[in-house]
Amino acid sequence: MLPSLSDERGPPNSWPRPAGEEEALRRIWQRPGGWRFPTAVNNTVIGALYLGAAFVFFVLAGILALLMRVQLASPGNEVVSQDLYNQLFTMHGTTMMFLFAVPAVEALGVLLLPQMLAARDLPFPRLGAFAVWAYIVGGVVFFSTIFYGLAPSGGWFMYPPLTTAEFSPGAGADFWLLGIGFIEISAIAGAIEIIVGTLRTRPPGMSLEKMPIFAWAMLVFAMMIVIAFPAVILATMFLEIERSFGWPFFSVDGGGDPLLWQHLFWFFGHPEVYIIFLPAAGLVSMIVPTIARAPLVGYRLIVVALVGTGFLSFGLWVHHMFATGLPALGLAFFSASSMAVAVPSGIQLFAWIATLARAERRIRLTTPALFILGMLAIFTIGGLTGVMVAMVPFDWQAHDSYFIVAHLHYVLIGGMVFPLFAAFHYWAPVVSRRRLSEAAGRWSFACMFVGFNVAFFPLHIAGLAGMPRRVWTYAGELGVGELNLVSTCGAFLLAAGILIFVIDLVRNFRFGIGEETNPWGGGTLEFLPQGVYSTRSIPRVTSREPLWDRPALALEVARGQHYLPNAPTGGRETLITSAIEARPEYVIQLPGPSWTQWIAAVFTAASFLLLTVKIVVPALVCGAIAIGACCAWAWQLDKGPGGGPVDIGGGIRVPVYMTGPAGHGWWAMVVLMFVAGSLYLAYLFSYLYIWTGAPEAWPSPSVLPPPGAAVAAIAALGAAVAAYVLAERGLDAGRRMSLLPWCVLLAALLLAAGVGIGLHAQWQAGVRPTASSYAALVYTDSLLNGQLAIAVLIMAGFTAARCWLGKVDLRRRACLENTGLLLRYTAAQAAVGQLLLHAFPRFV
Amino acid sequence: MRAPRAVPAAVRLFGTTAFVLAGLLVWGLHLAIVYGVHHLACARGVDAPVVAAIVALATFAALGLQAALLAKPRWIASRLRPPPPDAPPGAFLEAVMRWLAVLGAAGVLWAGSAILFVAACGGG
Amino acid sequence: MSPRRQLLSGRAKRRSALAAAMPLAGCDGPQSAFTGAGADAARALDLWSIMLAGGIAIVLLVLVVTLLALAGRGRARRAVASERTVLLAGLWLPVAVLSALLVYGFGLLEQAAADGESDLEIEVTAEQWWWRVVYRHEDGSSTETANELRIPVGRSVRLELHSADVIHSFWVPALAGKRDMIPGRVNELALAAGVPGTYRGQCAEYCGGAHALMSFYVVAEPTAAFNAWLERERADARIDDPAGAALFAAAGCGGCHAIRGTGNRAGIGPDLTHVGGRLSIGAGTLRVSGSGFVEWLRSHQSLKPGNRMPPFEALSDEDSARLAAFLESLR
Repeated sequence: MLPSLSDERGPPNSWPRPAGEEEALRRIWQRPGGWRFPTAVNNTVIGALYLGAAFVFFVLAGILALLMRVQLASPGNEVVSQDLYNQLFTMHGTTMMFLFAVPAVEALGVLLLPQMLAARDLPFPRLGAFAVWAYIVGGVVFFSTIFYGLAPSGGWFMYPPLTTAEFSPGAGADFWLLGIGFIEISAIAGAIEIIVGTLRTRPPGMSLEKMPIFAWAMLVFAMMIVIAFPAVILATMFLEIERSFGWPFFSVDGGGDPLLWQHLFWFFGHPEVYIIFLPAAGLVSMIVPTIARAPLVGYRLIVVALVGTGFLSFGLWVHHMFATGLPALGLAFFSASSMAVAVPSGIQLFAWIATLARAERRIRLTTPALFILGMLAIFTIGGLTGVMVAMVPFDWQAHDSYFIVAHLHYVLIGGMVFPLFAAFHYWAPVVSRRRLSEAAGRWSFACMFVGFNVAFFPLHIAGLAGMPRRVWTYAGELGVGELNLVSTCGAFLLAAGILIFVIDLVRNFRFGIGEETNPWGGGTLEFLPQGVYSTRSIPRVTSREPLWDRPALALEVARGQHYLPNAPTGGRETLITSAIEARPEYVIQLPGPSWTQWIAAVFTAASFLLLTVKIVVPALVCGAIAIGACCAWAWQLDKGPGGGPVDIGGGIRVPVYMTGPAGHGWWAMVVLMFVAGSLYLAYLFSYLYIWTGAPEAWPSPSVLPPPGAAVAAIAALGAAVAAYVLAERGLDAGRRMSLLPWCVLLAALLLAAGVGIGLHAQWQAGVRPTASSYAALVYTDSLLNGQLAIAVLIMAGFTAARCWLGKVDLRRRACLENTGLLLRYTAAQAAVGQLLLHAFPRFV
Repeated sequence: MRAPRAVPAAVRLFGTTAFVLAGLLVWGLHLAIVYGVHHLACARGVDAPVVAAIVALATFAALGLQAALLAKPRWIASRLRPPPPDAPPGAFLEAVMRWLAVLGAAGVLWAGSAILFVAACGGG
Repeated sequence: MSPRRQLLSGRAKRRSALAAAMPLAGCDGPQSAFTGAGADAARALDLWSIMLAGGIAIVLLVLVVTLLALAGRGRARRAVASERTVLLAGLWLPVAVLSALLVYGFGLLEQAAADGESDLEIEVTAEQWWWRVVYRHEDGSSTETANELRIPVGRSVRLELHSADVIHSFWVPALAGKRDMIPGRVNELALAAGVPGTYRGQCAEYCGGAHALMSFYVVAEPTAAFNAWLERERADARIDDPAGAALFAAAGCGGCHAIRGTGNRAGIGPDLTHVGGRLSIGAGTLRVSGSGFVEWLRSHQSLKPGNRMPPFEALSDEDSARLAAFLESLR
């Protein structure tokens, strides 16, 4: 029975604290400087780097947009050529969506979540560092293609057949496909951190219903990434393979279907915009109570709205395809769900307004307040035009016209950029030694708000007046020349507002911890006194706004009177608590700075980019180095149970090591398995979709590989799992430790054999992937299983090495567990694949 | 150190998540069924009234499930997660579940009602 | 209400009533969705007017509630600050409004889907970056033209949409919403013009390269005029300029372009049998009248970069002028 977490008995730890305790914390959490900077893993460093990089991409993509607006300022203009313009709009959209929007909100999560949860860091610090460096290297190389004419020009959603090798020869499309690839990896790595972080590293007593709304928003955001991103990963894999090897997924000739891309892309693409919006809405929900100096009205309704929006957004994707000629009833279903998703946004909007109304004193229109009010206005209009285009007969006019361009900018700039600027000003005191200027903030708001509306409102009219999107010029006959000229002027005013902000940033932002960390009087934990080690101790939380409800808390925490005021294992640690009630469970030993994850990131990016330009051998070499670096990185992670349980205060003793379903490593693997599962489900969808459209391409049973092959494959997969179970049971029973690594390796080899048998059988049956889309899909199954089987082989080798070096025993077994999880998952997935490929054509 | 064998926290969390999302999961399943059946049926030339009937059936079933969630959440909760050592889902999560079920029901009703106005397999 | 009845029931009256009600009346034009000259476009315009009114009302509501929240008196502010208001304004009000809107939309959708029975079928195939138009006749024969459609007023015309290469989209906003043209798929669109006139359409799905310059005209005229036009179009070319025709063949134009009634039968590029009678060249890029043909022949690659016609730089000014005159004579 764990001790109660109530407040009655006073803070958990005594004061004054022993000498040297705080100094030890400061030493342990020190941020590497100088040329060692790339090794840093503190969330504040990674978050700031992430946010800075995202903002740079925002400005760069914005400049591309200004060039576009100059070209469109009058009909028949020739400032920018057709070819360059087609690259400009593609790069603008791609950079904004993939290199700015998602990274920026992810960055805010990395930067702010641990502080809001009073955790010392996220649970996988090196993973976050890996993600940000892969993103930076990859993003910079990708963006640079605009400077030497290698940029893609297929639009940011790259529809085939335009983007197949036949109609888009050259490396531009390949840069997009592979460039987006490792940005997807970054996003998923971030998502794993955030899910485990919000669910397991909260301070004791911060049950789910006391969690800050931003944490709820990021939890939903991360879960959406896990389900949505794999669909676009599969689509980009398909298109790249079709371009490079001729497997016909989207070409009509081979039985493929261009609409498959659209289904896969938009299944990702629509949740993507909510992935971008929901964290920003979470930010608004944090700022509004502080502005009003009153708790949020309708906290649980906002939680409902966040979860509801996130979930419902997966049922909207066909509304991007209303003009493709799909049957009317199908369109009607998606029109209905597009309406449904508008409701939760309405709930949030009125909850914010209600909270503002709850203020007892008049609200001061500080810069964050102004940006929030601007957001409310712009996002409301964007939401309303969204409801308009959810109506099919109207969308048939508005789709692919400037009306949609106007709508999407209203919701994205209103829904995400304005909250982002509010957040910059609001949280700058937490990250910067000097405050940003209020005067500059108001000027930049005014220019941005007026400029934005002048730039984009006329475009609604221009679109309905007949101006399609993605056009480098337009006929004077349309009569939209004046509207476009006004829009261009507005765009420059908007840019001026952003420039004012940038100047202010350069003059005033200095990374570090300043004097006044809570100038707005916020009530949540990120405003506690911070050091390089985050808070001095981890507070016991009993309400949603702890700083308002317990004014002595800041002092108590700074004195070290709450949990974990020291570093009992001598290294970086934070507290792991239970998912729902936040009861302390164990202390997690976190890794510190290192070169391994940086090397892994740089060489992963290099590998992808070399593949893009088809320089294969160096690409493989870089890939191998990256994998080696990952192994070196992982080697240092498992520190073992150490000296046993430690005291964190309040009479609570917890272990410093946890394996099994309660451990963070296990949770991370489970999230990864959901990613793999979502990827495979997207594949199953593709298989069934292509079959529905072209059943004649499916073979008759006599041409299929013999069922015996499937049986053999499944037997091998089963044997793999059995070997592994044997190994685990053996360890539990304390039997021959020397056999353990051999069992592990055998299991991995059997797994690979199972996958290989399936592949071999198809080849022997004469199925060739370039022959038809059916065949291409058959080989895709082997590809998806094979990728995982290779990962399992590497992990098995790693585990075996650790066994041989005596680093695995009854209690210390994280790598054994994680490998086992992935092995079981892969076996199951491959078995499903065999059933699909053998049973489906025989019985349907 | 391994966690105690009785009801691992991860499984409890999974059950709790499924409970909270139940209303929306019903909506998602409904949409997948009606859209999938319609797509497949139209591609294979099944009669429109048959499709409409299936959609209607799915809609009523979904609405029924969501009504049950709104009326008797604790019974469903006890089916989805084994009794935990500490408190049951709690008023907060139960309230969230109910409102999500309301949202889900609106979605199901709106999608299902389309068959009253739009013919199956018609032009688009 | 069937499209026929819609068209015949005082369309002109409805149009002007709508135009008066809408503050954006001045925004109609040959390529404008505000014109509403076709059955589908009129439906969309009606829907737009309702949604615009509703949208303005909601914006005003949000504005009023926000002002009350920021600067209102005690009771009003307390009322806004309650969870009940959040539910009323944020959940129940949207559910009610959206339910009504959705049902209305379903009704319009069904009307659109029910359109399309017609005795006049035109097959339009999109190519990078022009439109191949084929009229199908009852006797099974067909007539090919390019980059322009003529349709009778007051009747529904059924378009069969194809694509020869990438995804395009057929959009003539004054008459109807758009429909994509997807390789491997045949889509249908019903055009029902209620008001005679010349309307402009444009490709509305980015198709690479000169997507921005892929336009076309739709001329809606009374049935008698349409029938007369169709008869002329079906007939072979009337060669008034045999020297020009010879130059056409000698210069190699016949390798891509067909002129029915001469030996030129290749269908790679647009059919030129009656090109002199059309409104534009280069899929809406240039007007036919005046120096249009000459300009096209001389500088089409700079006017419409990347278009599939070879540059023909070797053509002398004199030859260009003679060819232009010949093409203009093909009415």
